[in-house]
Amino acid sequence: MVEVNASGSNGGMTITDTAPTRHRVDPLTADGLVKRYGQVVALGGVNVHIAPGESVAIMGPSGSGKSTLLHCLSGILPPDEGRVTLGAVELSALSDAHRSRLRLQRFGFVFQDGQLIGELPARENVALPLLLTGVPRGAALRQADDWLARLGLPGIGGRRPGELSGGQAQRVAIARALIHAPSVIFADEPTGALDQATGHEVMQILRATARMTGSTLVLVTHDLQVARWCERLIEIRDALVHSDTRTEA
Amino acid sequence: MTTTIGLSTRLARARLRDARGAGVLDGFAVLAFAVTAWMAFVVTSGTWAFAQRRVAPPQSLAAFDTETVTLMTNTYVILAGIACALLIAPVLSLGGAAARLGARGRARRLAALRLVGMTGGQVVTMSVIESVVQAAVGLLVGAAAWALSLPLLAMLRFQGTTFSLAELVLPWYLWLGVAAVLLALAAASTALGLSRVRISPLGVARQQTTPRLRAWRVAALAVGVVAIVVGGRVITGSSGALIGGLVFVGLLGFGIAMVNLIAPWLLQVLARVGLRVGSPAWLLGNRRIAADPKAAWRNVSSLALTGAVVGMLCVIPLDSSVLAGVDELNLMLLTDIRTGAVVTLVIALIVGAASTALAQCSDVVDRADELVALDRIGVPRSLDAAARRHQVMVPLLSTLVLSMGLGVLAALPFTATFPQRFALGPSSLLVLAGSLVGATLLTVLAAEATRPLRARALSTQVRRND
Repeated sequence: MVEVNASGSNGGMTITDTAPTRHRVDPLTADGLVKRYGQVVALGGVNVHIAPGESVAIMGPSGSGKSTLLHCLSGILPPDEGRVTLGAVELSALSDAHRSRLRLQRFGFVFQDGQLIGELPARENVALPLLLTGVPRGAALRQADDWLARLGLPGIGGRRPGELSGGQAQRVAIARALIHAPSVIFADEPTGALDQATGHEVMQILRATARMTGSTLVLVTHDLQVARWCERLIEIRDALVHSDTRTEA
Repeated sequence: MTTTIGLSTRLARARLRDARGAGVLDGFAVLAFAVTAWMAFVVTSGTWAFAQRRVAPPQSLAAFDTETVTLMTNTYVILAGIACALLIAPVLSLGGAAARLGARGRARRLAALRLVGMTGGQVVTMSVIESVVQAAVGLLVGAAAWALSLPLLAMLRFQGTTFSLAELVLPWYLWLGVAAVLLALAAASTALGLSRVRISPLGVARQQTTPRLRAWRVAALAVGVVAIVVGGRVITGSSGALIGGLVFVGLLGFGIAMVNLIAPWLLQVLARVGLRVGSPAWLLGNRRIAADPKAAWRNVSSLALTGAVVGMLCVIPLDSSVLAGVDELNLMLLTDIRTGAVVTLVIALIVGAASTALAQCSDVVDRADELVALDRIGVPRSLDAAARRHQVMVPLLSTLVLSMGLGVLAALPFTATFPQRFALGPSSLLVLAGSLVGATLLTVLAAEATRPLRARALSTQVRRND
């Protein structure tokens, strides 16, 4: 059982392991990834193996290739060379439409600024991945409300993103990323737009909920404090893996 | 000021040379201004031609006595005024949308300029200058299109004869007047559009929270219906056609204002009802309408005119069997009303399609980040296209039904003197069906015109600062 107590602007909250059914979690592997933007080499032959349920932070200076690595691992970008596999599925061999479907069904994403749909209230933003996979509206909204409550946001389901604080919006984004119990959660600078205290709170929630669902967590950050929330730290420099170490998380 | 103008010019040139297509929005804005100017000149030209005929009646009216001819030519000027009233608002609205499109497209650059030290006033001035330049280019293109379309306009037959080119060509002062109004509109719309966004050195924030529209608008509708019924009685009871015509124009203006008041609220209600059922695309489309029903209404408001005109055509007899008992003068009037209505209808459809295309293109550009983010999380690319279709079709169909009903109401008093009070012949039905299908097809096509822009937004692989 996982239990987290966080004291944020919305008071304390408790996350327990009463989450929905977990997806099968597979290892995520990148072999010899090469990605170029014109003449610029963003990834110059990267090899990474991420075990099921592991939490990995990818760090590096600006322009090192860390976001490109995350985009290739998640199937957003196809690599120019090399391959990415999730269990037995080779992402890099799938069509664009198949990769989209895989992202919708097995991955969850948290971006720097939430990227919620402005017109949809919080609960419908959270429920979107379920609605798109054919879950009936009532059931999807109930699950969304449950997740919002778990993340310390009970009663805000009817508010639109423009009416939420940065921290609240990011928690809504986390709920959207987790509602379908993904195999892997990809987070791209999830605390980049938040103050230190709120960022700390968001990381605590992200880490705890990933553990709760058994999901693998892959996050990109330039902040060492954020990276230390993960079990493993991969540093990218000049388009290559510079170091790969265990943290004390 | 000189620095602002110079910088504005250099940035505009750079944008037009940009290989990634930053000039596309400028192109859309110029195109919309061109359509606006073209339609404004056509409408003014037609009205001017009838005013000319009031002074020098055509030979085809020689058979009638002076008093009848005076009455007849006055009536035509009033009818042309009605057509103007119907078309000027959407034409100006299209011009305003073009100005706002340019402003939105420039938003990020404006924030960067604020960051390097430009004041809010300088930023607004620069945007206004750019809009006026775009409008001026559009004006010239529109004027050329108008000049080229004069021979087509001259083929229209009114008062028993076609127009001459001399009747249609605007005097220089009227031409300049129309041009000045269009340029002033571009400047005012840009300044107004920028007042709706907050441009700070750290970025651009749209003032998102739109208050929900309230139900008091229903009471206004009830008052409006009573006014139309009473007004209709005044028209049928009045002895002079001029007074009746003026009352009718007034009622029409009031009716348009009433529709503008109630329609956004109705769209909001419809969208909220629609939230309870349907697919995610349906949900998203309805949420977008409910979030800003006034914007949804603006996109289709010009098509309300189409609906009203079609509604009026339904009750004005169009078939020769119905017109058998009508005297020569009224026959000419009715035939001309029919021609005028069809011309108005065609213009309204063009303006409506242009408005929809422009609004949708602007929307795609505004949502580029959201589209990319949704694509990344695996949302099917078809979702936005489907939501966009719902977003356009719900307001379109509800608007057409409502406005057609009001059009029928407005035309009923005129049919009181006809041999058959109400007539809906085969040609009326053809116009009705054709207009509905035409409006729907044009609007859907206008919505689909955003596909290349959306594909471009999604395919642009920009290397992030990683």
